[in-house]
Amino acid sequence: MSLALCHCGKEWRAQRGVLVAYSLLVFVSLCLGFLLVPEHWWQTQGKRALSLSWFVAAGVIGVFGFVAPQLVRAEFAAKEDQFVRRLPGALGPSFTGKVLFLLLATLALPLVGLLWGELFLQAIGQTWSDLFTSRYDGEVVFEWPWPVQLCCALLLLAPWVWAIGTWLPGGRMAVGGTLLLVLVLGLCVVAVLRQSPHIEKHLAWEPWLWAIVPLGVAIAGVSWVRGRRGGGATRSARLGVAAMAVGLAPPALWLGHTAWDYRHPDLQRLATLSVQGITPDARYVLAGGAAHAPWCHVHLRIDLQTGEAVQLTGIDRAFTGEWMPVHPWALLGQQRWWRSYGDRGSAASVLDLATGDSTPLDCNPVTLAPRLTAGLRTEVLAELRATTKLRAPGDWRAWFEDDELCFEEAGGAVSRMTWPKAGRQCYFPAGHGFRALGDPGYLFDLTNRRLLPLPGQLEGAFFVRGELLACEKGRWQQSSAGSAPRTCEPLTNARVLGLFDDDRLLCAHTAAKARPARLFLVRPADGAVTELAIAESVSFQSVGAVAPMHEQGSVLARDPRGRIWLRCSDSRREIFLLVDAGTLTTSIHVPRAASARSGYQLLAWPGPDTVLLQHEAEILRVDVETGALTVLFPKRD
Amino acid sequence: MNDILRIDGLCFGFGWGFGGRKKPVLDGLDLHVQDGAVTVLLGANGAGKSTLLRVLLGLLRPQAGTVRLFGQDPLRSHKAVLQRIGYVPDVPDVYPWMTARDLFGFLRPHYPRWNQARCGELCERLEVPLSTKTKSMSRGQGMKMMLVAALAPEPELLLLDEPFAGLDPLVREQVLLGVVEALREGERTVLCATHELEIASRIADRVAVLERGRIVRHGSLAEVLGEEEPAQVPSGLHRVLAEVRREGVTA
Repeated sequence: MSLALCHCGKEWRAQRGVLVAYSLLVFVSLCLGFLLVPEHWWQTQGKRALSLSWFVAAGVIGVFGFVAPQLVRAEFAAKEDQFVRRLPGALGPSFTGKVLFLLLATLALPLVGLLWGELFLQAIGQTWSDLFTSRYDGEVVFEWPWPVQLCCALLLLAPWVWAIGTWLPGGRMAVGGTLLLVLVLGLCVVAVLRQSPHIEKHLAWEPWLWAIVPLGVAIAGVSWVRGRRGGGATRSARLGVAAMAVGLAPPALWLGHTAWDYRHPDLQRLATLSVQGITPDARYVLAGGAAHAPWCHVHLRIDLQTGEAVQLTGIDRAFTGEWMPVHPWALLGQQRWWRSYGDRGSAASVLDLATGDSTPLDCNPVTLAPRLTAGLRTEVLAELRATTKLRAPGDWRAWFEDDELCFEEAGGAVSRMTWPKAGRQCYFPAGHGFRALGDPGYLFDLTNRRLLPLPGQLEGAFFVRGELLACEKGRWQQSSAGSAPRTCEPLTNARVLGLFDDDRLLCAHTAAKARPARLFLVRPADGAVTELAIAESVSFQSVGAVAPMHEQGSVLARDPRGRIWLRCSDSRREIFLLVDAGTLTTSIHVPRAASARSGYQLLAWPGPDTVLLQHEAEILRVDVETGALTVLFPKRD
Repeated sequence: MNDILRIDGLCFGFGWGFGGRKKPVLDGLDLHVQDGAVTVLLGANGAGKSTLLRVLLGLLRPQAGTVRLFGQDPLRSHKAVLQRIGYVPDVPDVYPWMTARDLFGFLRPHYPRWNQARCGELCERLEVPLSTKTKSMSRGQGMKMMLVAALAPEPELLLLDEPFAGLDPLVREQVLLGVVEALREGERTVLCATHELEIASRIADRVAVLERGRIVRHGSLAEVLGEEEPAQVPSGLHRVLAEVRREGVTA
């Protein structure tokens, strides 16, 4: 230890001149600078602590820019650094002495800066009390100015400056070399982060900060003690880089593993799951999932019979069920055929969700519209017709094929209407019609096959047998072709949930202070109202009709037993309220404990009394009659 | 007598070794130095004398061959070997801010056999300025300081790397006398690298000629110069002592 102290003292003798000169020059310059600049720049509340922090920062810069590089530079004399290297067993104690000196300088120089700054502020009658604030409860909160944070980063790197100085000829340009190394390493890290959006939100990188200083010291030790024995800067660099590679391997492996986990998560241990589609037979699911909540989703195909899942793509591809230029506004759907594409629509392919087979798909290079093979086109068109949710009165289907709107006619005939709007469009079903967004938007009446301009800012619109009910500024107006609009009184302040049947709308009043929740049917033709009885315990503040995969259509979706499912929630819980369309009775269904509120997505009704639900990262099958619940995905071990 | 230094097949080169080849400086060098002998390593400038001494000090790593000092590898047994070696470089290699007093104080804990009394005596004899910084010393003062620093630990082997080059005659003789006196008192082994034949003729027991990275001749000076060594001629060390005393050059 005495040898180490001897070398520590030698470091002080070697550097004291430079450090004293630097300190005097910088601290005096800072004082003069603060005296010369306008007072309001720094003497106002919140800025005095900032000025003090500059004195500390100057001390830290002295450590980073002078002390650390000089640990190597100061060894060089007439015959390079051979003096210390030819002393018997001096490299080890020299290293220890340098560590000790760096530690002392790291403590001393910023403290000298702090002392100097405090004396300066005292001398001119200022304080730095705005460094902290006392809260009403007596707790003191420090508000570190940004130079202090910069100082912390620089101090972490000080041993690295020393280490890299041993690699460079004459120990020159150690600071630049360190900044260059940090830049290169930073670019590598940024490259990983950019490739994996939001990955940093689940990176517990803080513990690695504590390793920066010991790692820098260890690399400096290897570079100096081992590298300088029988070699110069080249040997130090070779051994130092090897030590750095060993030292950086754990965080690199950790980052790499996290990035791998990002793109190849354990499909049975997903943190988030987003179901995008399901086959009409409710067996296979197309979903996105990620190992952690904020991460981008990879796509997977889940077999609900076995619980097995297969990853289809990484995060850089998307799936869509859109095949035609005009399509429903729904990213989710019950369909078998899915189109997958990469960045900017590149490398498109078609996925058969039922089999899991994926085949390349030719697309128009300009419009990116898919060019389907004859066989696939037949399949897709058949599915579009079978799954369309657009209905004209009488349960007649309507759907789009390319630029034509098709109507099902009696006897299996199909009538077609050339769609007058060009370009890609999305629509929302609105009773016996639909509403398209755009500028300008429009409405289409499936009963009379007429296109209407979208008047103003509509809050809601429904067609009932050709009669339009539109809500604007809270008032529902009804009108039919050629007649003047009139107010529909029964709908005042009501929330219209959808078309209950070809003649009636299902409506609700949410619970208010002096008003219980209410469900009722309204027939716009004559204004008749039919109340639906609901249990007293049901007091919803929010209500909405649900359908498998959010696929609402012209008429409210029904399960195989003819029940309409409403999602009702208040501040305490979320339940499903089932409305029997035949008997007009209601029943309550709570899929899981009340505490597990919200987040249910209805996927399908696979049987008369079963429902598939997604809740968080699980897919559940629930028996509506018994309440029995089975987790289909992920698999239970 | 035992070999205090054994070098066999030593190879060393500088450069990056592009294509696996480095510029060779030492190329299969063999040299054995016996205990108590004063061996002068003769060679032209750039022959590799200093490089050889730096290899012996463990400052450079041989690319091939073996080096044994006191039977030990100077790289592996760095501390043990260097504690028994005194080294005088061709120019003072210590920190420029150091005074001689600083230097001796700094060196002392590194050498278990450091003889402070002898250090003081040598400083006095060689008139080493103790309070002058190295950067302010003349070359002669610096070399005398380095000589004291090399001799104070009472080394068993003294390595001299052209310590007399560039000195004025008076200082040169002072340094030479310092070396010789030290040898006389300790009967130490010396390996002195120089390109001056005169130095060799004055102090050498044996001369090794370094050329093209190898020892091309090794023997007494007369043998090396191609003539028989007369039996009555005293060995180099004693001859120099006699000359110095006769000429009255004192410290």
